[in-house]
Amino acid sequence: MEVSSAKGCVQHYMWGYRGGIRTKDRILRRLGSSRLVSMADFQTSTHRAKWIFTPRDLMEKYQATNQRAIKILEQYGATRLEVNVDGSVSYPEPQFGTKDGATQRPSLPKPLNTEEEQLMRVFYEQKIQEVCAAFGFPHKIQGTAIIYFKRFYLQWSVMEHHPKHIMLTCIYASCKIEENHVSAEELGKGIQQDHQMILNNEIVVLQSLGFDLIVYAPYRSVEGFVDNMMEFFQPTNGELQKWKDLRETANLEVDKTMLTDAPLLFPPGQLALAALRRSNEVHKIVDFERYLESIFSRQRSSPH
Amino acid sequence: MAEPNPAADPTQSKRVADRYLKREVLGEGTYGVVFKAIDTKTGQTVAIKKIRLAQYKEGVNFTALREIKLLKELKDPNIIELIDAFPHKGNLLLVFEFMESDLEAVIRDRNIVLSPADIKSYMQMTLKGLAYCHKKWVLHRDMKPNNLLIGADGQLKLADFGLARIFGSPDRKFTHQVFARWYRAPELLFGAKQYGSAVDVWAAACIFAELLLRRPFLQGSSDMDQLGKIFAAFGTPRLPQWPDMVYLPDYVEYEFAPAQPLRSLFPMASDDALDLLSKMFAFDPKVRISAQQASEHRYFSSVPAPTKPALLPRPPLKGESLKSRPLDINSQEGPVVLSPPRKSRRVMLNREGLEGNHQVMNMGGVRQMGETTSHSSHVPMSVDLADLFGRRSPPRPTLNSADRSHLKRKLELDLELTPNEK
Repeated sequence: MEVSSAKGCVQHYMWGYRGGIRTKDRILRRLGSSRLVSMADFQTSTHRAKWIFTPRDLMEKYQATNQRAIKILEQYGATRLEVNVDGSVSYPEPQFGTKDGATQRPSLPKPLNTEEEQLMRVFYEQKIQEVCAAFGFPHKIQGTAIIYFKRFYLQWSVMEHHPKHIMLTCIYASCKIEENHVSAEELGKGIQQDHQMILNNEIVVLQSLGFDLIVYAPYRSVEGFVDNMMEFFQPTNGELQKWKDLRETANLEVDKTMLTDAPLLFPPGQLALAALRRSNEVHKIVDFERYLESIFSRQRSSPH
Repeated sequence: MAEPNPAADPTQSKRVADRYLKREVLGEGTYGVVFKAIDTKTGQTVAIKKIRLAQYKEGVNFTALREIKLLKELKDPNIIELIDAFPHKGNLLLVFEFMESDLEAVIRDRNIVLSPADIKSYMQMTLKGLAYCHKKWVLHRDMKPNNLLIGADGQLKLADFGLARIFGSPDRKFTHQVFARWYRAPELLFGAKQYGSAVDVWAAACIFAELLLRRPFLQGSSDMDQLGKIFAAFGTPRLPQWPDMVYLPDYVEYEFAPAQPLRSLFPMASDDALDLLSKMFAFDPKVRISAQQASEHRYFSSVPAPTKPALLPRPPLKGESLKSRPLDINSQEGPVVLSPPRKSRRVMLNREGLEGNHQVMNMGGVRQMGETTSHSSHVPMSVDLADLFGRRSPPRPTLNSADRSHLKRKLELDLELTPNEK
């Protein structure tokens, strides 16, 4: 599917979708599910306007933060920034003697390259999933937290802010924003971490996110597409278990997607469709290409 | 804030703070000082809410976060604009466009004559802003004249999104302790926890009525009394009118009272105005008109056309004389609750009302003392000129302190009730 043309219509389709709410409610009830279908508009969101990049943008950002951290290392002999509760950061104290620094310099630790930084991030993104699962948080909490984490490290190198701290602060912020409040103390206690550190980092995280706090993980789009696919394919009651499997596998696919750069590159609707397509390859329930065709032709015939 | 990594470059973050020239303090808000400032980048006058950091056990203030996250996504001529948000010297600063006044000040100012066209204009802007919120799946949940701010150009904008929430999820439960009581929809007063945009429409209807009457329409002194006031005006709802009401958690049967003709409640209103009002005041939230439909009602296209915002009458600015004090008499005949608020207990309405009304008035007076502080501590992005000149506010309840702590608890523990949710 051609990305640029699919982009607009999928987004519109999933996030501008209202007319079908009543039908969806009916289907949701039939499934005994309380899954959610609608949310503030993606079309006009800060997510769409400011946080979807080209692969080249991403590469440049990762290189820039990496280079900055390396420079700091050369200058101060360390990279870790001090964070204050008001969000201000201070650079490390120079660790070299001022007298004849050039000759007395101890050998510097070797900085990470961008690939190593990437591995660090993925490691801690997995940790976000583990911690959220351990707390039994609703699934969207980890989705939001991972997106926060990814956006944060577009601005900073993992050498500057320890990903362990940022990961916990992202989970804390995600809980707050998704109205699923857990106290910092409780969160810290659950994983034997100092909760003051979580609070200290809150502002620097929020600020690095540009205070754009509503984010769209693909999970909800999966729900919406599954409902719509059911309207399209009209499954019998006997087939409902298969559809449940389709959806669950798709959500697992999204979990994997969340550990890649994809959420910074594509809108949630497209990621959801990709996950459903892979899930359908496993379960072989429907003619997925026919469904895609139907969405796109409907899209073309409607003025939006 | 759009610049990448402002915190990494100290010179840049200094510039951000230096961008605004501080002017006078406008008031003490619920979570910090609000002051006026000039944005040197645009020359625009702004209002800056200062939120103290590091004084909350739970990090950045919840209400402030809610307001930031929603206003970042809401951009509309009838919604207050959040221009900037950044930490500065141990505070979090929220920069809003500066608003000269608010609708409460307009309604209270007895020197202002509101023509039918003026009322239509204010209502149109209110409903347009509300329809936009609902289109973006945001419930405001604190609609009242005091939160409808008016700019120098006469534009009315919805503000104070500290109670607002995203809605649209089936089976999601919310707290019913929202809105100042006089603007609370009957389903909320009956304890509904699953509700939708209709609650905002009811509140908008109360504001419409307030514009017509120049006093708050239904001034209940308790939740029970509020329902009594609603039923005394519109009649006790019969089952076919609102089949679901009996299933609401705090449903109580009220003695039957007949509806008063709307015409008698609003003698000055046009037929179109009354038709719209009756649709906005529908008991059953499923039947109640939506904000979008209301904004397209024929009332807005019939003569007189709504006044252009720039030509709307406004309260005098600082330095101009304030003459008369507003007379605020709640002449609404108040029904009285005779039995304790228990489910399936019958509540009698006192249609005679006069004695009861006095009682209610007294209670109102007492309440005022307690709540003047909560009123003055609640400063939106505008100056309350009346307060500056020592004019007393009418006893307008916001959420009282008991409600507030309850609400706070509720909101903070507003856990997902759908544990399996993906």
